[in-house]
Amino acid sequence: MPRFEAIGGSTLNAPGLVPGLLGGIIALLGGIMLVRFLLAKRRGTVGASAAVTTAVAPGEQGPPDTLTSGTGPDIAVDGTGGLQAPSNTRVMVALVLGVVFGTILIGRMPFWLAVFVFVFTSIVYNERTSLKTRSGAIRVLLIAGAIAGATGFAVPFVFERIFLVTLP
Amino acid sequence: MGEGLGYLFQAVLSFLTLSALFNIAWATLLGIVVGMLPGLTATLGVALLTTLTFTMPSGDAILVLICMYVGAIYGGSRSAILLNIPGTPANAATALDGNPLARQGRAGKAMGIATAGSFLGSMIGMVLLASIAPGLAEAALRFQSYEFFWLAIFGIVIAGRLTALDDPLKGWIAGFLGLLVAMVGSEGIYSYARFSYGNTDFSGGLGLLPVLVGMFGFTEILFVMFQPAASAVSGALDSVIPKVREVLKYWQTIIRSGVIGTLMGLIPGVGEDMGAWVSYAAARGSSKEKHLFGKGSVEGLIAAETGNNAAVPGALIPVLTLAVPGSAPAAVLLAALFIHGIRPGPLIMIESPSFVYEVTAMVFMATLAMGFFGILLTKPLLTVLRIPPTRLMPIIMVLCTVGSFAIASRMFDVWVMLAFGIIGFVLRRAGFPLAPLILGVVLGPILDSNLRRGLLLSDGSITPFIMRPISAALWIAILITVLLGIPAVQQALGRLFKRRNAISSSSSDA
Repeated sequence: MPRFEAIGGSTLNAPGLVPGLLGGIIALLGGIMLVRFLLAKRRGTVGASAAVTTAVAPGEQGPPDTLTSGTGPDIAVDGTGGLQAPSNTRVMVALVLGVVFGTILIGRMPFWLAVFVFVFTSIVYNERTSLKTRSGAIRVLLIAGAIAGATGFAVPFVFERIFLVTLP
Repeated sequence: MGEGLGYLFQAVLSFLTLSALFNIAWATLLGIVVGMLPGLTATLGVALLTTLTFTMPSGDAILVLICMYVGAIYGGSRSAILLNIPGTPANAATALDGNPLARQGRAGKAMGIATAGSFLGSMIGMVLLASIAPGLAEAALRFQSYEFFWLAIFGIVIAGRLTALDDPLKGWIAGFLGLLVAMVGSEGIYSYARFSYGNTDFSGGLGLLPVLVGMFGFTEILFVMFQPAASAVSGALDSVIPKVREVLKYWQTIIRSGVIGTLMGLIPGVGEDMGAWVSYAAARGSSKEKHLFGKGSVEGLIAAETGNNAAVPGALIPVLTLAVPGSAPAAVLLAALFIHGIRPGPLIMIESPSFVYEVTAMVFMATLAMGFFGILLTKPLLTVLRIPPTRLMPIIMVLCTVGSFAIASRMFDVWVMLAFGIIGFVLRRAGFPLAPLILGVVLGPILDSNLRRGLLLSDGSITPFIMRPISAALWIAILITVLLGIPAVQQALGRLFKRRNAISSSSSDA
């Protein structure tokens, strides 16, 4: 690619002008955050202001923070597919399965098969607590197989046949 | 005005065909279902549907997307009321009074009130859309590069401030990160590749839709897998048809919330969540029943739902007149307009004056469908809430992957989606709001090309950026917003007001 001067550019319209300014602003804001953290650490108040930022009108009660507090709503929990407590492991497994699906499975096997493998594995993992008994295991495997099969058939059908969208 | 009404009437009539009504029905219903399911947001719904509407005629595609948008913002109230988990972030305020009402055995009433509020909110927003948009488009004709540069900065600063009220710094960092993300790829003036490192995929830039699907799809999936799930409030359902007298009792709250919601929607990047929260705060501030708020107040519920649905047409106003999104779902809609060859912006009232009214008519039809399905299909729709997230999330992941790929048929977009899903999860866990980041991705090219073009036109002088009247108004607004976000300034102002109040009360005593 020719250098920018060679195509008639000047400092005023250099492509790096705005990224440079933005980098400077982000560094400045990050620096303020760092100073604030260090000051709070010195005062021993780190963590007190680490509450999760949520869109709350001034002086009002915030939205129910079920996303990060991990306490969840104060109602009976059943039929939730095993999601009874917050879990970093579940997030990691979901992340790994998602990345494996998007980067390894797709393109290396027929799309419907990649979808079947991903959906089946995800459901079986998420409902693994039901696998302890024989009847529970059969039920989970059947449900996972049915959902994975239906998704593997329906997604290509709807996207490719009805809406004429190209699939990986 | 008369001409506008004519366009609006014609547009409504054009939607009374069998195919248009069919599209309105399925898209609104799908929107309600998407909104109801925690983990599926209006943004993701509109983004995924955008890929499905590639081959549709542009009018049908935009109609379908608007129906999805309106339906999803309304649908989120169901899970907020019954699960205490907002289906979309816009319904967080709804949960405060909706869920207590459900626990008191008045779930049907709460859903009916939410339907009435959403319906009236959309209608108020729609009226304001039709009346504000033409004037704003005319005013925007005076905008030059200098004003568009400040408008982009204003969008980031205000969205960062309002979406992270307790720590605006995080909102601003998110916004500027979004602007930086938009710098990847060929720039708009010379098509000079930036941050590409010789890679042709990076030279093409990071697409808005893969970034959006990653941040609002994959990130949500990871959050749903992290958090504990909840089951719906059970028991027999009372009547879901709201009593007219009970709704009209709060007519002042409805009008106020509708106007506030629309204005919040109008502000770039702020959107429906703030429409609901600010309306809720205003209703609480002026209510005679303050003590009921948070314990099952009908007024609180109606304010939140009117506010968030009024923000939908509000968010469409800057999309149509400035090509700047008022909210995250509106950002997708803006991208969809470009995909379908529609060029929103200040020239819209000159190039296609009827389009603003067509969009207004689409909102109108979507609102009618939302009210119809909201009342008629209350009980059948509740079965959606019984779907365990463990079974739904893998399917959503498949749709996110397909949605990202379908835009340009390249695997690079799937990887972008995955990368931004992980980045979004980390940022959200650290308390950074994602809406300013998305707004930054949309506004990045506007900021970049207009700053450089403006500097070239002024021969390097920054005087026009400072002295032109609209530019001056914008940078002063930015400065005030930034200053008000600094804790030391807030404390100083608080002390000043306290002292002034003390002086005035002592002088009145005397």
